[in-house]
Amino acid sequence: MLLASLLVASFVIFGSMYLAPGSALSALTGGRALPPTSTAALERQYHLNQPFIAQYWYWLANALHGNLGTSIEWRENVTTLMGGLAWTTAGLVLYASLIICVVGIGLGVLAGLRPGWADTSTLVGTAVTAALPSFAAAMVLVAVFAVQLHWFPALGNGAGFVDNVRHLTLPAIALAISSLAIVARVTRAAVREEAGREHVQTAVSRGIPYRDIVRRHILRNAAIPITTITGITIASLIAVDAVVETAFSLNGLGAFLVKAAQDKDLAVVQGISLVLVIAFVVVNVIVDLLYAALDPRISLGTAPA
Amino acid sequence: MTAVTIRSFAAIRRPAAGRLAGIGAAGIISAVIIAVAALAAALGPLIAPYNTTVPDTTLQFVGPVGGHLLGFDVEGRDVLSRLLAGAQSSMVGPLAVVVISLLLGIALAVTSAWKRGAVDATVSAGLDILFAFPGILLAVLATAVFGPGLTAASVALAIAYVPYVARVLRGAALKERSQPYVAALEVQGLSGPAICARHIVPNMASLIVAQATIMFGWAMVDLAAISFLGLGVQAPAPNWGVMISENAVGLQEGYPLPTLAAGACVVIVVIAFNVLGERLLSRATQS
Amino acid sequence: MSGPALLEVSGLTVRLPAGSVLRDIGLSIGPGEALGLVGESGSGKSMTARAIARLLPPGAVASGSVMFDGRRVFDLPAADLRRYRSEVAMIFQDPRAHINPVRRIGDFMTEALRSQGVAAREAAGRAGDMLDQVGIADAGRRLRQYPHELSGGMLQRVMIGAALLTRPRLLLADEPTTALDVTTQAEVMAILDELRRSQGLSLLFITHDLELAAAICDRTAVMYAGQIVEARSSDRLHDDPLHPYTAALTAARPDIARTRLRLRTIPGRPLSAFEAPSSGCAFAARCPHAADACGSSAVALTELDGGTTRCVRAAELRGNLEVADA
Repeated sequence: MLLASLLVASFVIFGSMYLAPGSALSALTGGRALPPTSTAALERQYHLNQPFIAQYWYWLANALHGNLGTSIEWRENVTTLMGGLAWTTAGLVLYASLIICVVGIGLGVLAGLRPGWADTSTLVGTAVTAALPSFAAAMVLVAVFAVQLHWFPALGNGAGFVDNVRHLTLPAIALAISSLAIVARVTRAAVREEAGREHVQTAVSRGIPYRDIVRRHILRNAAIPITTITGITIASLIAVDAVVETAFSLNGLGAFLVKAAQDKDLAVVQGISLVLVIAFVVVNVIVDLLYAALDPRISLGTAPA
Repeated sequence: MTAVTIRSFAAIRRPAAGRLAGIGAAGIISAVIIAVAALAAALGPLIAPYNTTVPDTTLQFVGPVGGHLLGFDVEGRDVLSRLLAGAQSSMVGPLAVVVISLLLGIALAVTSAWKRGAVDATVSAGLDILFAFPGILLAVLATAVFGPGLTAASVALAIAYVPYVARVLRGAALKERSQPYVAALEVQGLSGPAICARHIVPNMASLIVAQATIMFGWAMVDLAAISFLGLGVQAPAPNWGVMISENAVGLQEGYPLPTLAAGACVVIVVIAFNVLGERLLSRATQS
Repeated sequence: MSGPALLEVSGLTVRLPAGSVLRDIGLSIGPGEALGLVGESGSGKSMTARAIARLLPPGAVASGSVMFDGRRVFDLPAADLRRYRSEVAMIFQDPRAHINPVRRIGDFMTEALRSQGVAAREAAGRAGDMLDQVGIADAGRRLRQYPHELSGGMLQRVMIGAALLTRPRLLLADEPTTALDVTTQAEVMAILDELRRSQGLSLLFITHDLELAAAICDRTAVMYAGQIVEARSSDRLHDDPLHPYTAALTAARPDIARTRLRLRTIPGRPLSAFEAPSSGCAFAARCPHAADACGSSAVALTELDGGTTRCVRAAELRGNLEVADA
């Protein structure tokens, strides 16, 4: 099923060339005037004189071999251009995912198990931050932590691993913040619900220690919805990361994608879109696999409820 | 048993819960905020006290002074006026997204629910496949192909939202479809499309409105992000997303007000839509 | 009843924020004895079992005393409470809701043993033997399965088996067969009865079915609106009820051997404890034998002919409680 998604997505990415006003060629050149040798080269590379399906096939085959075409703007192989940037994006997404998992799930579990101030403060905090779009969060974070407090740099990638991490911290927080709030809320609700279930009563009635009950019944069962929501939010990071990269002037795939879209450099846009969509689908596949592993009532191949 | 003809011009409604009751104080506040924003969107350019487009670099980032409550932006224009004028493009885009995705979504959901069987299976499978495309990505792709602007981005976003809308509404439509009154109408001889249009859809109205409200919030965030990236509304046109990005340099230089003010507008209105939408949703799913 | 009581409850009153749910409950169960607790929904029978098991919902306030083997249950410190829980086991009405769906059957059954320090392998062995005893074949395979792969009846047997693994001395059974179809019900009851006798287990059997209680319990207590209204040996309860409510319950059960034009019902609906009037008999409003004396003051339990009853007119109504055909 997800493979079909991938195929359709790649089809849309490729086919968008033809939706543009004008010919496919003009979409590829982005309206630039090119010498005839260049346009001829483009025609050959994309097999523009062949039927649409054949073109799509060539493009896809090339892409899967790592050849995503040539950037009109930079006159270089798209894959080469993307190479270094991918690390920044991957690092950012992973960093943000880590924050979401540790802080989001952690807060949610705490709030779910202990009513009282931990619970109310989590609820209030998440209510505010859940709706905070990443770019707004980015601005606030920069204003407060970078400019006022000078704890973190505002822009750029930095050099060396530790400096990189320092530079990626505020962006990662900006990226993670609203997802974190959603994960915390869902986690809290799931933990609460599981704690109230009858099978927990059974375990209590048999004298099983509270710690074990929390671990083996409440958290173990709540892990199912928690994994689902965490997976969904992490997948959504892939799309939003373009915004955060731009806001912090990071040189990652997302920022490059935006620049290429502004420059009408279609080959780059297609290439990066394809990679991002693949990443999105892969995350979803992992979530589905985890879900099936956690819930024995689901067998692989059935859609999760 | 005597024959009873039901005059089916008016929809057979199931009793709806009280109109305003049940959305709580938070819901009312949110509704008020939304009303204010809508008003600004409608009248913004007319009621903006100062010029919104003519730059004056001598006034760059001057703080609040005189009648300029929020000071000046990066190009020396009055921030408050730009915000008021910008409300229009900031809210019209999401409106278009919601309307388009609802129309398509309702059509798909109801058709799928009505026909059931193979049609339903195919449509559902198709929608599941389309789920893989994140909205912003599709919007970026669209602007690369069609050029930057609100139209391309809005349409792309609308298409990306359709799978979600259709899935939610399909569930509700299926439930309606299996209600006894539908069978009664069928026996009366009313055609499928007529039953759907005049009875099933109106009975889903509260759910549709709730979903629309929530989606408006998402669309606003996504479109503001697109404009922030420079791929939506183009500077120097007033728009909250654009304002956030063009005034971002102010943060570094110690003038955070214009950027944060624009950001606050987006965030407050989005939160209002989210809160109201969630209240409406819990009310709709109760009855 | 031979020897001192294993479980002794007296003056048990439980209050929830909404109102009181149990009022002045008293009962006793001796070793090896089975007591049936019968009542309609809202009568408080489940709550009684939960109070005994110390499983009351948060916000509940309990007063009175529950003594198990001479110790006050409500005062037990943590370690003693753990031991108490292995001596008093509880089985519940809906087995599917009460067994964790994402863990295997073997896991469920051996959990209590393992938390007491029994080695996993030995615990699994005992669980397998127990499955044989409750009539589940192919124990090895079943232990590895998940709850959704077993039927409701089998799950209830698993629940019974799991409860008995810790060799409890008292079993609290909260409507264990209500959610099952009649045939399965009979099987489960048979298993319960047999195991009880072979292990010398005491049993508190909660049900809404008077005849079902009579089938395996030596004595039966009837509850209404949070109070015990009658307690007697089961056969005498059926033939010679002391309380009008008991008589009405017996009469209301459709009898396959007789034909009637209408099903007998008790007019009105059952009251829960917090709806009961503060003075007088809670059943008075629905009682065909109600008199002025019934509404005046709180009615105490009185002994009569080997049983107890909470009816002011019990002595004078003896033998005349049969409700006439409608």
